[in-house]
Amino acid sequence: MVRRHDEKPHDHAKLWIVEKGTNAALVVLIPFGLLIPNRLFDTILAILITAHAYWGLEACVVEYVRVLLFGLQLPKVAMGVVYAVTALMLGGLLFLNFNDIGLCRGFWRIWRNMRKPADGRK
Amino acid sequence: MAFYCCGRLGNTSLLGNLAKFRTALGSATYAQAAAVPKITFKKFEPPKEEHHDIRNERLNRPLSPHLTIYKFQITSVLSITHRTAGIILTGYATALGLGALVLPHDISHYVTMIEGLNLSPATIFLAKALIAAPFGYHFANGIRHLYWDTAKGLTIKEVYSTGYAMLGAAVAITLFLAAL
Repeated sequence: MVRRHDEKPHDHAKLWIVEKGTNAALVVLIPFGLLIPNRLFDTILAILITAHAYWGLEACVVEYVRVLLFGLQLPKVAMGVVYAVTALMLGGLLFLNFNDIGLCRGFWRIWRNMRKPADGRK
Repeated sequence: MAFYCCGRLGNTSLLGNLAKFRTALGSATYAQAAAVPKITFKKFEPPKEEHHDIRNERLNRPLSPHLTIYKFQITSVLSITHRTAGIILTGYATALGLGALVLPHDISHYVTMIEGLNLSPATIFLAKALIAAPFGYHFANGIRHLYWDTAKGLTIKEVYSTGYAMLGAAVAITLFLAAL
């Protein structure tokens, strides 16, 4: 009996609202977070980016790594990989925020390619 | 009234009426025209549940061609590019997060390493444009997706026009980010 998590009947409606809310929040938060780097935005961005990436990867796995093509076990393994990547991403980004200079300042460091000025902005 | 009667008359055929009484004449006429099969009875067994894909595989049914035959259109190309850009961005985020966890030095060290390469401004601009391209595209198309989610812009004409507008916006965002 094949059991894939999307074959169980589930109402996606509430999750859809959360996903779209995340998308809308990201559209606003990424420019503002980059303009005004601060730890609060960095934390929210870390969580929202991880969630957005998780839903995106989950959609790819569910749609492409299908039982008909890959057998019964590989789709489950693929979903496990998605969970692992998500966990590592969240842990890493939060680590970056609290043990290093943070998401947005880190981006500017790499992007501006120069030594950190006094206030941390470009 | 006449119509009605004619209709009712049409429903019964003379010969059919004869067959009802199983006279030799009636049976002979019908047995030649439509051979009645021998009816056997089996006990009812509910159909065995089998997954749709597994049954098709068991019966060795081929899959209809789809990706190999359908023409590439800008609608589908933009859509798959959106997904690809998203996957690339996930790669960026994973690299950032994973790097923060496992790499021995902090970010400034690696920035110094990149500075040490002494690349020309043109190379730096080109490299930044290449890195920023997936983000510019995914950001612009993401806004287009959100526009669709408000149930607007869903006609083919609007899909095409917003698609072209999105491409322009994506290029603009990419060039802007590369110049920073």
